[in-house]
Amino acid sequence: MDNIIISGTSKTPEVAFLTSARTMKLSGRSIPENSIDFYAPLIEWADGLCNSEGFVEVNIHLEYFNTSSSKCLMDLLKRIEASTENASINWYYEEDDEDMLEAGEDYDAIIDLPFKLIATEIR
Amino acid sequence: MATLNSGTKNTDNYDLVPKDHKVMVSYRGEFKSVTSEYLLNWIERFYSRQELHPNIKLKGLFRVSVELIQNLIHHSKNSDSFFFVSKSDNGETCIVGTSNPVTNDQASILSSTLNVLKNTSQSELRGLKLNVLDEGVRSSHGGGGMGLLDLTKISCGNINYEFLPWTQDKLLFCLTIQLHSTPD
Repeated sequence: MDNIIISGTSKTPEVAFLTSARTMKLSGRSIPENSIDFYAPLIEWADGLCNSEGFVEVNIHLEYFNTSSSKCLMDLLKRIEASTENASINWYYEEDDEDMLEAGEDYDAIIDLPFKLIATEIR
Repeated sequence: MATLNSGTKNTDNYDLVPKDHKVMVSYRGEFKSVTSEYLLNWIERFYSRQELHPNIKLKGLFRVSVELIQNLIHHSKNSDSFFFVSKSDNGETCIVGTSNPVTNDQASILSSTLNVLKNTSQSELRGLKLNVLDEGVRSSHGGGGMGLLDLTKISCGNINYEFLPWTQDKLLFCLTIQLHSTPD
């Protein structure tokens, strides 16, 4: 499996999905008009990684995202949950950003994997 | 402020803007991806220059603007679509609004959905959002009915709509979201 490295844009997040490190990172903003087009290959990649042996770490550090991205993120996390029990999710939010904290809590309530909510300093 | 030629039909789009508000950004025309990028960049630049109450955060204003603009991109292929952001003279309220022509059938669905959302408490909205997120269906572009729900929640229920006369077979759907310095 090749790594997926995508630079962030004004509408799509920076992506670093690394095979040998077994980590997935999404950062920046996620507001594409058609989020399925963007997230579908990422979800397939995650499925492949999670079906191989070893621990997987997921880091989500988004500034904000639109509602269609929120469903695609859910699809990504559900696919990981369905493929392995050996994974954990780190959800980063700026310490004054109640909306992003609440969003993390919502995913935590649905996804049955270790889920850390991590406050970061305001940029 | 973007150029606007309003009033070609029965309604002036600027009627949506309260008298004590100044328009920060407005656009009328068909909404495409490039339009969205242009408007969102503009909102970010304008926000830093505006004297707004510190409780009105750029992120909130931006999220509302993104959802409204993308609603127009997905649901209105009409050159009479309109978007604006305004702020009150005292800087304590921002309004993000859109208007676009809809059919009577669309108006009926929109009004029943919005009436339900407006009469739902914040905690119930969160439960509803969780439910849609977990089990809801989605549209071809990835949404699936979460946009209006999220807008209602972000604005603490300060979401208003009306349908104005437009043409013989269409009404003008006007939607405004108010962001207050003291939202509750």
